[in-house]
Amino acid sequence: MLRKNFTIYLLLGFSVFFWGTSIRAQKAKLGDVGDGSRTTPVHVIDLYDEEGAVIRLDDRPVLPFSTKQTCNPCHDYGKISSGRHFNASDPTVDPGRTGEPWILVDPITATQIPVSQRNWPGVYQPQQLGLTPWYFLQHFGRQMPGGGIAENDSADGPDVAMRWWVSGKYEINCLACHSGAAEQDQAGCALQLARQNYRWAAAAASGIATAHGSAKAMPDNYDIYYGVAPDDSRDVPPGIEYHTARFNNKGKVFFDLKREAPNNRCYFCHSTKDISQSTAEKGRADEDVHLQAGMQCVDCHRNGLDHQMTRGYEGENNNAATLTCKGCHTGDKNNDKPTNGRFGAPRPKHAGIPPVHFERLSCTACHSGPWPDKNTHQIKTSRAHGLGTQGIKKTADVMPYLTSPVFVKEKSGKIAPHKLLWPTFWAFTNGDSIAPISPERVKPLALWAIAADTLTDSTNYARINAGNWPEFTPQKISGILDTLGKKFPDEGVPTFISGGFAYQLDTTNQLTKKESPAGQPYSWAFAHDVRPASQSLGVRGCSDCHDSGSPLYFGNVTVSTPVTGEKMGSKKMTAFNRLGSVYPRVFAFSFLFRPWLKILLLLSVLILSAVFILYFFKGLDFVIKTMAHKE
Amino acid sequence: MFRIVSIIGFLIVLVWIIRGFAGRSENTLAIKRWLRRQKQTVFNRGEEITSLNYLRSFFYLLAVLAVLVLAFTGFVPVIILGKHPSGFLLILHVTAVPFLAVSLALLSLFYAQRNRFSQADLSFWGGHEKEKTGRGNTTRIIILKKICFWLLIGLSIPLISSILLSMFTIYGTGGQSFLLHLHGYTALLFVIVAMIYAYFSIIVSKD
Repeated sequence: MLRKNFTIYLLLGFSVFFWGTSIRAQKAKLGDVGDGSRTTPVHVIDLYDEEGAVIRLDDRPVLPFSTKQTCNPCHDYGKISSGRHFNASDPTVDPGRTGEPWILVDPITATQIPVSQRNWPGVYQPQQLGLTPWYFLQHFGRQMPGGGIAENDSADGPDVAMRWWVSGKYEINCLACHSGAAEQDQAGCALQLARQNYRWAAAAASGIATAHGSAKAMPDNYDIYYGVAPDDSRDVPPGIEYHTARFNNKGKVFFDLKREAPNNRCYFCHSTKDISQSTAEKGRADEDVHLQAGMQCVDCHRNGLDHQMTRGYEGENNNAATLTCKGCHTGDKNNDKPTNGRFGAPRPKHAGIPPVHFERLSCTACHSGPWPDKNTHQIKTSRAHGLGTQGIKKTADVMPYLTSPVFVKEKSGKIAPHKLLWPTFWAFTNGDSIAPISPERVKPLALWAIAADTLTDSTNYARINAGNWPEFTPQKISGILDTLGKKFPDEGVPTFISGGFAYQLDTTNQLTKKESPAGQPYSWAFAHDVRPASQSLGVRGCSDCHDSGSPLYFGNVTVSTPVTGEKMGSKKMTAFNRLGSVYPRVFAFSFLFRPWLKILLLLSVLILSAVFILYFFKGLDFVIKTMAHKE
Repeated sequence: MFRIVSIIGFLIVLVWIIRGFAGRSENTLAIKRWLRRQKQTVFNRGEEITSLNYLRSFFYLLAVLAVLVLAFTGFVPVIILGKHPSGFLLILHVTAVPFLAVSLALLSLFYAQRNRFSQADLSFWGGHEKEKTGRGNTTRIIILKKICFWLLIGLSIPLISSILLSMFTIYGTGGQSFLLHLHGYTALLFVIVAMIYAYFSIIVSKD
C-alpha cells in the first residue's frame, strides 16, 4: 500500500515538474533568449495597433503602432514593465538611495517641490499635490519613457476617466531608449504628450510616421474609430500618417534597434547643464572620461530582461558590486574572481592619500562633477527643466533652482557630491505634519498679491514670464497666508516653506519665521561627469580639501528663496557634511604646520637612527673584540 | 584584528605587572619612591643644576606626557570604539606627535651613553643569570631596563618613519595601508615596552 502511494506521489511530482517546466518554456519569448550570437538581430517586423491587429497602410483610420503589441510577441513586456524606469509607483520596490525627483514647478506661486512615487525621504507623493497619473503625465511625461503610471488609468478620478479613452495610454516607449535611428525624436514625443496624444507619441517620435492633431482639443466622447462629427471642424483630431517608403512589400518595417541603448538616448532625460561655469557653452564642456574613452552609459548601468538598471552606487541591492567605481577600478573583494580592470579600468595609485579617505569619502567626491568653487554652481537638468524639449526657456534664471556640487554626508557615512533643491511651497500645518497645497489652489491668491503692485512695479510679471519666481515681500506672504487661512479655515495653519524656513502668521497676524524640517533641502548624489584623474581633488596636495578656504568643507551653498531680503543667501558646506563648524576649521588650521611637522619628524628619525646605528656598531665592535680576546 | 591584538597585548602586560606587584607590602613604598625619583629627575633635585640638566628634565617630562596623550588618543578609539582615531582626538594625537619625536631624539642623545651595555652587564648575564635575589636581581632589572630603552629607541624609528612616509606622495593605497598597520603595531609594542620600562623602574627603586 505504502509502495503504491509512493509511486503515485512520484508520478504526480514528475507531472507537476514537467508542467511547470513547459509553462516556463512557453513564457520565454523568442527575443528574450539569446542563442549566443553577439549580433543584434535585424528587426524587420509587422506593426500592431493597440487592439493587436496588424497595421496596413490602407487601414482607415490608420492607427499608431502599439509598442506593447508590436514588441510583446518577441519580448516579455510584462517583465520589462517591472524595470527601474517603470516601477516607481510599485510600493514593493526598494527605492534605493535617494535619486533625482520630479520637481513640480509653478513660477506664480514660487513653488518648487520634489515629487516622486518612490519613498525617498524629503519627497512628496504625487497624490499629496493632487497629481493623479493623468496630471502627473501632463507635467512630467516629456521625459518619461512610458509605462508605469502612464498606463495606469485605473488610479485616476472620474474627472479624467474619459480623457484616457481619448488619449490612450502611453505604453513603454521601447524606442525612446533602444532606437539607434538618428531620426528618433524624443522632443517630438514630448510635444505629442503635451497634446495628450499618448497612444500616438511613440509612433510619432519613431521617424517612420508623422502625427497631427491633438487629443487635448477633442471632446470627452471622441472616438478614434469614428472621428469627429462632420459638422465639427473646430480642431484637428489626432491621427498619424506612416511614411510609406519605410514599409517593405510585405508591409513590414525596419527598426534600427540597439540592444545597448545609445548614449544619445540616455542624454534626453539625463543631461545636466552647469550655467555658472564657462563650460556652460556646449563646445567648451568636456565629456565624462569614460565616454571619451569609448564607453557607453549602459556599459556600467546595465540591466537584464527585467530592466532593473544598475545605478552603480556602493551598497546597491542588486548584486552589482562589480559595476561600481570600486568594482572596476580596484575590484570587488567579495568576489572569488578578480573583477578589477574591466574595460581596461586603470588601478588607481592614490599616492599619499591615507586610507581613511576611502572610508569617509565616496569616489565621486574627488572625481565627479565640476571642480568645486567657493560658491556652488547653479545647474539645470533634463528632468527638472525639460532640456532638449521644444519651446523651453533657455535663460539662466529659470525655475527650479538647483545647485551643485554640494558635499553631503550620506547614510553610508561617506561624503558624496550632490545636486540640491531648496523646497519652496505653500502648505497647511497640522501639528508636526505639513501638507503641501497644490499650486493651482494658491495661484489665484498669489496672482492677486502680485497684481496689487503692478501699477507701480511690473518686475514680478516680467520675472514670471521669464520662468523666474516673483519676489515675495513679507507683506505679500502675510497677505497670501491670511487669505489662505480665511478661505480654508479647517485645513490647518497656512504656511509658506522656503529657504529652510517655515513662515506663518502668529495670533496677532504678524509674520513669523522658524527653521522647518519641511524646508530642509532635498539632495541626491551624482556621479557624472567624471573628471580625468589628473583633475581630481587632491591632485595638488592636501590643500585641495584641507585648506581653510577649500570648497569641500568651506564652500558656500546657495540658498534659493523668493523672499525679499533673503534671496540668494548661502550656507556653509559644513552644514551638509555634518562635521560641525569647528572641527573642519581646526583640522584645516593644523595643515598650516604640516611642512614643519614633516621636517621635525625627519630630523628626529635621523637622530634616533644615528644613535641607534652608532651604538649598534659600538656593541658589534665590543662583541668582536670580546670574541677575539677569548680566542 | 588590530583591536583584538591590542586588547590582548595590553591585558597580558597589565596582568604580568599586577602579578609582579601582587602580595608585596613594599610595593606602595616602591611606587612612592619611584614617583619621587621621577620628580627629582624632572626638577633636577639632587643633581647639579645646569642648562643641560634642565633640558634633559624638560624633555623627559615632555616625552612622558606625549606618550600618555598619544597612547590615549591612539588606542582608546581602537579599543573602545573599534575605529581609527578621528575628529578632535586625531587632532590632539597629531599635535602631540612632534613633541614625542623631538623628545625621543634628544633623550636618545642624553641617555644613550648611560644605557650602553658594559662588560659587567655581559659578565653578569653570563655568570649570575640565575641569581634573582638581592643585588643580583637589581642588576638584572637594570639590564632589562637598558634593553627596554634600546627597544624604545629602535621602535620609535619605524613608529615615526611610517607616519612620516605616509605624508609624502610615495606610497599608493596598498603602501599607505601597510604604513598605517606598521604604525599601529609599532605603537602597540612601543607602549607595551614603555609600560614594562616603567614597571622595571619601580622595581629598581624598591631595591
